[in-house]
Amino acid sequence: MTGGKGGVGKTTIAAHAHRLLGWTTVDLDVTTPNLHLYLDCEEEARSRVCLIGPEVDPDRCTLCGECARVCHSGAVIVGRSWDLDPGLCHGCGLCLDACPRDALTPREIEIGEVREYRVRETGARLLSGRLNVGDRRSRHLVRHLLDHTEDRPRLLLDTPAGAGKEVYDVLRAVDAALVVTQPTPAALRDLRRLLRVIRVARVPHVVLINQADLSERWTRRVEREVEVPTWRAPRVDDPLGSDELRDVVREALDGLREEAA
Amino acid sequence: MRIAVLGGKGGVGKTVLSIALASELGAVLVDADVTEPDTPAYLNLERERDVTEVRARYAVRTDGCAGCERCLEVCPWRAVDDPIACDGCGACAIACPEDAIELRETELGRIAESREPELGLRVVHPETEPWAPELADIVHRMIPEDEDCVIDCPAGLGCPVIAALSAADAAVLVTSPDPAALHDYRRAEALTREFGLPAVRVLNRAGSDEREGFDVVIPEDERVLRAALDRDPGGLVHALREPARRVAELLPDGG
Amino acid sequence: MVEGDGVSARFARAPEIRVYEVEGDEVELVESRENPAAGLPRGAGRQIVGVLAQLDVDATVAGRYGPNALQGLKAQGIKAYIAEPGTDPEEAALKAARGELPEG
Repeated sequence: MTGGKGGVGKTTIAAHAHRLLGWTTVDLDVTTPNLHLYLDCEEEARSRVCLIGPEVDPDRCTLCGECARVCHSGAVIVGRSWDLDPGLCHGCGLCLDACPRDALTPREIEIGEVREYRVRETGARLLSGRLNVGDRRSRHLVRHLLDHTEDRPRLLLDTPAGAGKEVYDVLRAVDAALVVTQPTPAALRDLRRLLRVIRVARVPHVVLINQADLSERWTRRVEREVEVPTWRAPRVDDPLGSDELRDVVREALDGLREEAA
Repeated sequence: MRIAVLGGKGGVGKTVLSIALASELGAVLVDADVTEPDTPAYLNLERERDVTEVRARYAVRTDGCAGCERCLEVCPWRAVDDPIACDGCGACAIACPEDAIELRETELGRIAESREPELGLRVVHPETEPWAPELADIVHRMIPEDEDCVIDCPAGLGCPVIAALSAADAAVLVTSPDPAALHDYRRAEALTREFGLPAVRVLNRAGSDEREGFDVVIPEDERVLRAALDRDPGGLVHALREPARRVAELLPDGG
Repeated sequence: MVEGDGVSARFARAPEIRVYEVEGDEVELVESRENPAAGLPRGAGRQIVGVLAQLDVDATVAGRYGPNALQGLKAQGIKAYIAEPGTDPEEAALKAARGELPEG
């Protein structure tokens, strides 16, 4: 499930897809995860997500600076003292290997957590990645979630908004993508860019135009521009409870299965 | 004064309010949504100049490669030979025992400065491939040195938003009343607090909801949607003039 | 940190580093070099601290500092002074040595 522009209804559609498919679902919008609010679910477990960075033994360290020389992110600085900014560490481990005196040992650097929910209606799991507020390593947390779920054959992944590298990482890991958009100039613009990324990642996809009745003119423009099957979903009062919306999502998922076959 | 407009959730009205606020203050509008910049979809922009090019490095294996795959071990994205995934950090080149990694440079687009003639608004906006790396750096380069600006942040609270907040003097926090938007908004509020910035809190598209804790409440207004669909910047700013003025008054030194 | 002929507004991305030795009222230019961190897409605030630490300076002067840089300077025991951008670097060095500038 992906959407380019934020607020087009991607997460609402993801909630419907979860209820229709009953698959394990992963919320990868790790800076603002909120899919758990769209589903009736209870939290079952929490686990910390950490990168492995360096810890210094001051008795062994001679301030030779080898570790700082290999630290491309600037997390380690060595001058009059050995200094790590844990917020900048990317966990590559090069410093640990570079130290000629074994003065560095691995330590955990927490970037966020994964909350595991049980969805009451389906009995299936929702894994929700939550980056610590202010942390800049959202892509690492997305990567962590992708790595820890890659052995599951049926998985529904809800991407963050945008079309950047995190979204590309997710698209590279999936077999098919349901793209949600809206009939507005901004959403169409974002859709075009997202479709470029989807084509580079070579993912079979279909497009669901949410709230198509907002504008017939822009709905037609989306349909004209997109080269894959599209579905129109209506504006409804209660999107999560709407049978009409659920039926459109079901049709779009069936269509996506055909595209991916 | 530099003002960051953020909210966490997408689609709550950050961009339209940013446009109205920049217009009200006579400030430069900075579109910080590097992967999906939307200001050109709302405004009729006439390009004035390129501010700067956006270049990026990506790693490829060359003939000297002995196949040890040490490069892939140190890369969280396993992005060697994949320019779209590679963020150009160079860890693989440092790790390679054969010195067989080449970091190639490529141009991914530019930062442009444009004018919206009807509003008399200056807009700095990215025109790059969506997979451009170093989003925080791009945001920093878009923010003008000595001019007032309004920074329209992307959805989420990732690097570009953190970059915008680290450069800002004040924040405008925007949400709509639905629970998901409020959940994301509270995280945005917490992030803004970490930077110690004064903030104006805006509830957009309000119905008869709880309004406590908000400085400015903007009722649901079909005119904003119409103006967006008709690409009518004048109509957009007109519809949001009153709330934009109130936000401006509540900013330190009246913006 | 220098841009043009004056103190640079920016710390990490200033184009030039000038190192002054201050003895009483005497200010002597010891070294001038390009800032290797100026063009770095990321981590410039930290990398420049590494460069200054290796140059073994006691204090630095710039118009403003980023949070990463300030934290790094503190850890290295390098004082971070603020001067009006464009100030004569020699004068700024003298004032910094006398502790007459505000700290970042």
